[in-house]
Amino acid sequence: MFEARLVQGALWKKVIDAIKDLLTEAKWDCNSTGITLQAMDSSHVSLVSLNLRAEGFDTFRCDRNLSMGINLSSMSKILKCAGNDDVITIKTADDADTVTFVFESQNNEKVSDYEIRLLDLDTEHLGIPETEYSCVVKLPAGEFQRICRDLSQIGESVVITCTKEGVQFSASGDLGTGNIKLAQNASADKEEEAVVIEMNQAVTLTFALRYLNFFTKATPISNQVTLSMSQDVPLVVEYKVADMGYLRYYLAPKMEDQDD
Amino acid sequence: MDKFVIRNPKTKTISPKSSPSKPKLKQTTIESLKGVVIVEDILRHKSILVLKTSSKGEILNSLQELGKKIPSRNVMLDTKIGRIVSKLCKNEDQEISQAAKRVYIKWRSHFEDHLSRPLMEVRCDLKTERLRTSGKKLLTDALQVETNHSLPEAIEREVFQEHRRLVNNNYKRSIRALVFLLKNQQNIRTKVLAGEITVKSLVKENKK
Repeated sequence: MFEARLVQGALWKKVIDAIKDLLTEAKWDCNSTGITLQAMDSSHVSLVSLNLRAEGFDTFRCDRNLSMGINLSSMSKILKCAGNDDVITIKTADDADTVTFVFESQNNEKVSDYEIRLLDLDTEHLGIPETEYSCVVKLPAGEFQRICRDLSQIGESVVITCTKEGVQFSASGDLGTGNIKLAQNASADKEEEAVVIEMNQAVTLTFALRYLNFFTKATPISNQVTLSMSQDVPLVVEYKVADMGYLRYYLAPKMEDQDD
Repeated sequence: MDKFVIRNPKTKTISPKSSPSKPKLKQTTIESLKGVVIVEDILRHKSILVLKTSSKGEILNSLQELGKKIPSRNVMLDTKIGRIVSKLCKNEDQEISQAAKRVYIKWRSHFEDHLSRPLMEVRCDLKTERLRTSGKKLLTDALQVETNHSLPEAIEREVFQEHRRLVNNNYKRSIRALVFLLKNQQNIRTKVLAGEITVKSLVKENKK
């Protein structure tokens, strides 16, 4: 028996909106500590890692470990049926081949439940060890979304350069070039508006804006985003899910073609 | 309209040269990156290297595969693969020891280069710079040293780090507390200047 009840049901909607464009189907691993999801997109360029701890839910019960394969576009369709203020409960019985979503409105005057079939997904389990990064940039999530959107007008990839002078995002294309520079801004009134750069080595990496624009769909989840970069490892874009866990995206950089 | 305007002969403008072709970029996949390792593969190669019965070809092949990757520090610690490769450097077989040495040196130089580096100071925006400079100045006055002394800067930087790199009210309070302490307590000031109290412990004790 698995049951997870979340009073701010809108969070489920935001989370699904943030991953449904990258992944078509995914396996949700549930155990007594919480819910995790890890999956690569079909081209193996990016990876999504979601972690929601059990303490974050209003009630959480998971008697034995189970993994649910769910088609994310159907899950998104179902969650569209929930109101923003609804309480969302996700439950499934042991050995069941369906999962049930229950939406209760705040007054309890309306209760709806939807059932979707589980898929039998055969995916390998991925473990991601913690690594140290040369460069960690924290910036407001809205700012990052804006940068990615603006630069995708110019070109299809962005060069992120981190130096002593700050962090620079630049793109070039047929129409010209664009550069956005950010310096540390530690004196902002609110902590989430600050731009904080921690680095021990300068880094320059190139990424596809198409993927970054998929990642910034997670902007409603958190006010702040963390970018972690090092040579030879993927970029990590992390959005904290308040009091519950995190949503991390990993993206492989673009490199010079060595064939020619 | 053509009757009223006088047409000047066209002056030749230099057309901008077509920019040199940019290097072609290729999208890599996550597994193809050097820093991304599949722990199972590392463990498999490790067991081949440890096993006494594995042939020379197998060992060389495993070493070659390992040489393509640079595992992160945590993976190194968990799998202890570094120790096994370094042991192979002393192998009787010339070819194996050379291949192992190559992998070992590559990994070690990577760790010496890239990890355990001190944090670099990144430029801040104008307001932050102004606040931090005034913090440094207050500390300089309190310590009664020349303006280019390195100690006030070190203390200020430590306070900044302690406050998660934010110039907030707590940062300001900590600076003020330190200034007050250093100004009025002669013995602490001399101890700090002599290096008997480290900057780290001084800041930690007076953190607000």
